[in-house]
Parts: sequence; structure tokens; C-alpha cells
Amino acid sequence: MSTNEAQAPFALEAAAPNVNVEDVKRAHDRRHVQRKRAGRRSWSLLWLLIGPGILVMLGENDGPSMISYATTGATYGIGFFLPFIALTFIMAYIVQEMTVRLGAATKRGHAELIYERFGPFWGFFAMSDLVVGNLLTLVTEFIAIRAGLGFFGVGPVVAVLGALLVNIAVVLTRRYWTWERIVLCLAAFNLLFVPVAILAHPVSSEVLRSFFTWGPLPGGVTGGFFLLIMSNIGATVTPWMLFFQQSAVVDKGMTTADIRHGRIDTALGATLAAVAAIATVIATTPLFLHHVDASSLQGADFATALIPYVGNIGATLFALGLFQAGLVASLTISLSSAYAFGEVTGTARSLNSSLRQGWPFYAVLVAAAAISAFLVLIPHAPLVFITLIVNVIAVLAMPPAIIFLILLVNDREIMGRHANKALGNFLGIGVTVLLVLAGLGFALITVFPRLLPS
Amino acid sequence: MNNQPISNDTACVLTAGEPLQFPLPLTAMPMKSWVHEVLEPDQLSTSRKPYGRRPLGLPTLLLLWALRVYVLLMIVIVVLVIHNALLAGS
Repeated sequence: MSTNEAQAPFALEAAAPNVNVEDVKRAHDRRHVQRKRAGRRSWSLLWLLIGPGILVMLGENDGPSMISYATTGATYGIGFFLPFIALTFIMAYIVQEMTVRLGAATKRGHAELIYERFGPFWGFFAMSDLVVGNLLTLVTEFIAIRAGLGFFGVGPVVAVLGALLVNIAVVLTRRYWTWERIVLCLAAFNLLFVPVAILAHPVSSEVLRSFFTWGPLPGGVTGGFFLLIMSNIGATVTPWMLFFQQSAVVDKGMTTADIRHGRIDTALGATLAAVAAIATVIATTPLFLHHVDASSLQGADFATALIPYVGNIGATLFALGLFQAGLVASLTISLSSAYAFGEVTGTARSLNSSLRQGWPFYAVLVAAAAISAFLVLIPHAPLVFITLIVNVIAVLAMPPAIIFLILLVNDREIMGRHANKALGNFLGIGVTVLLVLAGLGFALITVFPRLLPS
Repeated sequence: MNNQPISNDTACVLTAGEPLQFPLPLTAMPMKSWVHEVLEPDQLSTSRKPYGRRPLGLPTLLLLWALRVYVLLMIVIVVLVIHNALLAGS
């Protein structure tokens, strides 16, 4: 064989597009998936493909959300809000399923798609909205971490810096698969609220009846009721979820062949998160039954207030659950900021990136968490103010985010046969209208508080 | 040239178009072709072709701007009200 003939296959190979460390790591993960699929190992395949959906749903059961559910249970007990919370997670599934299809079909993150299809103006706008919103939300996560560990006597500095170190350590694995599996393990502890609910000794028939009757609703429709409605919606459907799940689907290397498993993953996540949320409402029902004033309770105060009714074990589990909720959310929300930044600026946007190539991505990720962590430690920082506005702002910021999502998922040029059908649009637009109405209603109640009885 | 030993260095990136130089890292070629076999073209971080701009029609632009104004207005209202409530409380 002549030298040229020996070199020919190498020449063809060299002409193929470059690969780097990120591609090699992703290819490793995909090879496992392809082998399981070829071997028809359905449970193993499901195990490999779950992740983004469960993480986004359990990540959304963050510190402020769990406090919102706890306040709901302490104020209204078992009744209207149990089926309502289940409904909010159905809404969340409707929205998040679209991000799975978008990511799998286009292989692009959410911010990247907005940037490419609608231009730099809307791309940077979307990213800025997200980064600012995420910064505020991350502050509340570190507040929850501080509150949860504070129940065990851990000082604020140790709690917050310890959580920050966990954030950095998990990211330094520089491997999406490893990061995902670690955070999945942590997210599973969101179900700690279930044993607390059992320790509260709820009447099962009342729980079941509430799902059929959507009642009772003590006190009827008031301004406070509307605030909790907004708070619970904000606890379930927020902009960072769209950006995170779509980018995670891309980072994980999922393709259109994996859409069915992506849907299962999202549905499983919604179910687990709904169970944890409803459990939290049930867990704090004793406070409602014993007329404990929950309006001034914050963070771990709920754990302390629950001791007479669920015991020290129940209170401990509640505080641990609060800490876990803040920690997992801090991991997922800071990652969503980094994804959006990388996608809009055209730099690295993957947890599989090497430190050398992906340093801006990792820097943004760590900075998002670090800035929020340090804000929490500043004396006299307006933390109560931030906590109160975060959930509400998330609800208000959701309609523009969903409109972009609906525009993209209907774009046949990029989605092909995976574009939305009529039912998907009906449901997606329905969720958007509901969110806009909830926001408008809140504005009316806020500006004209006498519209509803207090 | 093709009688020289091939090194076993770790994978390196081969730039398309550049002349090949021996000795060639052994793992570079199999690594690259294997990755191309497993990943779809759009999944490669270095070869993604951007989608073109999609023009937004006037109704859609108006809707996006209307929602933008709605969000900003609502945030101002919320911030003001909560700020006043906290001041009144303290």
C-alpha cells in the first residue's frame, strides 16, 4: 500500500467536524443509552434517561415554596388547596413537557433558541430577566438553608458557606451525568415531608374528600386567599424551569428518540413534587386545627411550632426538608443562569466542559450562588422584602416566558413533526391566560384591597 | 513516514483541513469516529449550525411588548405595596 492510500481514511476522518472533551463525555453517556435501547432493557433505559424532569419539579419545591405550602396548611387546613396544588402541577407538566420536545428536537437550550430565532434583543432580554429573577430566588434559597440548619443550632455563616461549598464541589465534577445523579439523590429528600404528614395524623377520609369536593375553604374567598393562590402558583410554575429543563435535556444529550422517556421523567417529577407539596400542607394542618397564628411564622419557626403535634422527630424532618429544598434549588437555579449566559454569549454551556474551555460557564454558575449567599449574610439586608416579592414576581414574569415557549414549539421549521398540535396549544395558551388573570387579580387586590373581604 | 511508531498520547483535536503529521496520537482517530457515530451532528458542540432568524409578525411583537409592559408595571406595583407594608409594619 502506498503512503497516500494508507493516509486516505485518516484524511477523510480529519475532515470531519472537530470533537472536544464535552462531546466525548456526552458520547459516553449516549452510548450507554443506545446499548440499553438496543438490548430492550426498559427499566435500565428509564433509569438512564430520567433526570431533567424530576430535578426541575423537585427543584421547584424550593425553600419559599415549601414555606408557602406550610402557610397554606396552617391557614386553611385540609380542603380546597389539596386538589388546587395537584392542578398546579398538572399545569407545570403541560409547560415543561414542551421544553423536553424543544430541547430534544432542536438540540438547543431555551435562551439559545430565543437568541437564534428572535434575535439578540429578545435573547438578551430573556437572559437578563432570568438572571435577575434567579438572583433574587437564590437569596431565598440560602435563607431557607440558613433557617433549616438554624433549627439544629448551626450558625448562619457555617450553613450558608457550607451550602456554597456543596454547590462548588458538585459542579467541579465537570460531568453532567455525575452532577445529575448527585442532585437527584439530594432531591429525593424532598419527600421528607411525607413522614411529617403521617406524624400529623390526618383523617384519611377528609384528605380523600377534599380531592372530590374541593372543600372546605374556611373563611371563603378573601384577599389572603388570593395571595396564597398566587403564592402557590408561583411555587409551581416559574421561568427558570423552562430554561433549566430544556438546557439540561440538551446537556444530557437527549434526542427525539428519548421524548417519550422525557415525558415520563417530567410526569414522575410532577407527581413526586405534588406528593411532597400536599404532604407539607397536611403536615402543618395541626396548626390550623389548634388555631395557631401562622402569619408571623417564617422558615424553621414552622418546625418549632409543630413540635407539640408531630414530635421532635417530625419537627427535625421538617427542618431537614427545608434545608434540602433550599440546597437542591440553589444547585438547579444557579445552573439555569449559567446555561442561559453560555447560550446567549456563545460560550461553553455544558457541565461536560473542561475547566479551560468552560471557565465563563463555571464562573457564572459559582458567582450566581456566591452573590446570593453573601447577600444573605449581610446584616440588615432586606431579606423579608425579597422573600415576599420573589414568588409573586415569578408568577408575573411567567407569561412572557411561556409566549416565547409556545412560539418556539409551534415553529415547524425547527420542530418538524414534534411541533405542538391543537391540544398542546389549547392547554399551553390556557395556562398562560390563567397566569395573566392571576397576576391581574393580585394587582387589583393589592391596589384596591377593599374589593374583597379581608 | 508510515513506518514511524504511533504515539499513545491522549486524544487531541484534529483540525479539518490541516495537513496530517505523523506520528499520530493513536487514540485521536478512533475517538473522533466513535464520537461521530454516537452523537447526532447537531449534538457536537463545535459544529452546530445556527437556525436563521424568524421574523416576528406585528401582532406577535405587539403581544410581546404588551406582556413586557404588563410585567414591568406589575413589578413596580408589587414592590411599592410590599415596601409600604413593611414600612407601616416597622
